[in-house]
Amino acid sequence: MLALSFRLPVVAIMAATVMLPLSIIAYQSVLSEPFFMGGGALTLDSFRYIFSDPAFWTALQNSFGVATGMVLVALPCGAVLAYLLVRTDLPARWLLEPLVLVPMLIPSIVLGFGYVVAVGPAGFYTQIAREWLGFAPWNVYSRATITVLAGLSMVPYVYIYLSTALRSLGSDIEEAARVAGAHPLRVALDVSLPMIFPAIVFSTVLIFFIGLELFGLPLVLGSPNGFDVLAVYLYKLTNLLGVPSYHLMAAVVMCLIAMTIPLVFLQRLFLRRAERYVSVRGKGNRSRPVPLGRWRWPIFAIVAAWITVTALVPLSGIVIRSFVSHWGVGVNLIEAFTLDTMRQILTDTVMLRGIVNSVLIGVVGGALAVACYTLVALATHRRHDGLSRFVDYLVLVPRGLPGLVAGLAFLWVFVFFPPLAPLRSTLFSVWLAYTVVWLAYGMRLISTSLVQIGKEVEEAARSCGASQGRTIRDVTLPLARNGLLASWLLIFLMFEREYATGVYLLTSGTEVIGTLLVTLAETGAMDRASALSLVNVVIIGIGLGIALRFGVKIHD
Amino acid sequence: MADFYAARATKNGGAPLDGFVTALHTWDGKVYTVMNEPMCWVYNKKLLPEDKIPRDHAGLAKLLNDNPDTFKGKVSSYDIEKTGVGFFSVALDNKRMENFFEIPKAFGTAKARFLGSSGAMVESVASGESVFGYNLTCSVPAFQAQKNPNLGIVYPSDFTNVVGRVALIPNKARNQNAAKLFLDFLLSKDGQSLMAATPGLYPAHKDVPVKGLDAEMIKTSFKPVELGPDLLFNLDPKERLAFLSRWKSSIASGRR
Repeated sequence: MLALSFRLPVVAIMAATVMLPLSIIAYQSVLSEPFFMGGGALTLDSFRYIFSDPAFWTALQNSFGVATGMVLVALPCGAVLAYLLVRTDLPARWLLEPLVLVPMLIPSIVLGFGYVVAVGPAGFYTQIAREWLGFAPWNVYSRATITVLAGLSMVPYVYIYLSTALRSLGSDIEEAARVAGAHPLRVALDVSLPMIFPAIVFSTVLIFFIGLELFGLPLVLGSPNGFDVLAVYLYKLTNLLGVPSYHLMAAVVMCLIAMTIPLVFLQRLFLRRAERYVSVRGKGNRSRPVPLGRWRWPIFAIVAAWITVTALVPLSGIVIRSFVSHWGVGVNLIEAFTLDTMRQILTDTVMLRGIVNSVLIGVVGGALAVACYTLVALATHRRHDGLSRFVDYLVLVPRGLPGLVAGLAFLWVFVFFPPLAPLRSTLFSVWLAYTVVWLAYGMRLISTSLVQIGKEVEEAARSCGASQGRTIRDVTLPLARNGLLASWLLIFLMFEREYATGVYLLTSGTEVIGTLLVTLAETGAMDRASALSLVNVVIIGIGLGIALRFGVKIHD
Repeated sequence: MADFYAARATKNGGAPLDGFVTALHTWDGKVYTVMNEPMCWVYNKKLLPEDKIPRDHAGLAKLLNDNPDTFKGKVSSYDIEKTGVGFFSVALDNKRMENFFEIPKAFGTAKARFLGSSGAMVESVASGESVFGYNLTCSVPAFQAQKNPNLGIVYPSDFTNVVGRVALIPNKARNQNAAKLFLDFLLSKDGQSLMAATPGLYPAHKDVPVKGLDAEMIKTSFKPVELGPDLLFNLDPKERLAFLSRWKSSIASGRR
């Protein structure tokens, strides 16, 4: 819709932002030494090393296994949950909806630790279970458990994409099916499900990507027993040779990026005719919930159980760990109770600065990120030309980049690209890295809202003589307003919980809660890590509360 | 490495070196050990009976192998691929004893868990998830043991490696003089006494009294690491990878 004079610069700036760190990594992967040492020679040795390292292949295999398992767990659960919460008369939906998002709010490294404290071999619940049953009924360190827990923690992502798609879908079509005598289950499977097919494809690919670069959970739960995934293998390369092996790390990242390209291609193939699924036309829509009948309460119990496993169990572990000096077999928690840890966190200047920075980056940075994503989305809105295809690929490429490495690449950009050097120790560096890392996620949220607006509404404006810019300003954006506000909220949530990306960018002035958490967890200071993540969850909860209070709708 | 050569402390702004065991505690007047930190073992006092507490390296492997019920799945050690200090400490063990690789083999048999930091090992042992932790930088468990009565510390009696907390001033440091003053303070009696109050550490200065550690033990079994270029042995990629692969294959052979 928009002129090339707008589209080209927007796409060019975005391409530069994405490609600059990527090209540094690509260059580094064929050097024998860190590129900033100057003396390295061009060589494929790094690739030769990792391809001949059995640990690399094991990690790759494990990552594929975990990613596939996560999709198999998260997709059905998320789809069912979205349908139940959006379309049926499930009880207490107002309460369940924010609770569903809770697993998203906990950084996965903390999630891992929460599980150890709650249901690990010496965990609170494990001890209770052992007292009652005489044995521990679960092993939180097994591969299967790690995969299932990782999958369950991804359910909110699927839920968000699918529920957004479902909501913008008028329920009239479903009602038509109901009137024709179809059973609710049949309506869900034959009508609602196909209509949200694009969102399903997108969620699948996204979760697979997240699965491939999964870090925190396998690091805490799997790695001590020798179960390593690609991101953990990558992390080990930092110390394996005594000094960081940047060339090897870069080579692993190139392999990850190479894997994303066929996936993106596959996704495009599936979505070629996305137009087919447009459903918001120039008419009103009001949805009416599908009655669940006698299944209402049993289904409610299942949803509540999922929330318990993915959110309440690890969260209770974190809460308890924040307020005890020590824990475990034979420890009386009441005797070990202490407020010292929380006091330490809330009186430490670095921690406080991290908390303030986190709020800034979530609220202000989140809004700026949404603005950037919207510009890019508009540049490709309703276009199926080469430029749009290019953007599609570009958007997903950083998704193949583990946050840890993305942060490292941005550090290099800020240190060695003179125009940006002054911004190195400002929050801007962290914001830029976050915005690029979450590009695919954010773009999808926004283009979903845009694509659901019927073409004819915009065409009506155009035929009344409005310019392209004016149509966007007065028709498209106002209609997409709810979607944009919801995107802001969701990006806020993502930015608050992000932890890996900021690790290499951490310096005085760029502290955010996520990176401080990693620093604390790395030294094993789990009491302070727990207390800080509790603070984080509270901040996110407040943000969520305010947004919902002021009418941002993630549910109708 | 040229960028990291430390500035030589000048005589008038220099460090008061008298009283230090110089060969060990400074290298070429460039790198200074400001504090000593033993590498200790930890155990859970509630879960590990007195007669099963490992006391020395020589007997460790046998103890683990003879008591699978006590130790299986309940031993923690450093993941030496992830952490430099973990690698360094086992490389030192290997230099100081024969048959060192019996220990990783016994770890394999005991299905030991390999963690990324001393803090994580303390958490695991103190909670009872593990009963025994191998090679921790001692300041972490010593601090925890003050609060947690279940946490016990062992200083292996055949030898206890002692690593230095070192300070150096990079050649290109912007505030050389301030750094020298600070280094002076760290090495002065006042600075040393202040740091000596940290549990698990003991001063580099011999006139500053040791707190919380047995002075006799320091004399007999504590083996401070000598500062010097020899320490770079574990940065040679070939040697390092060879050691890692032997470590890993020893663990694997024990698992079978």
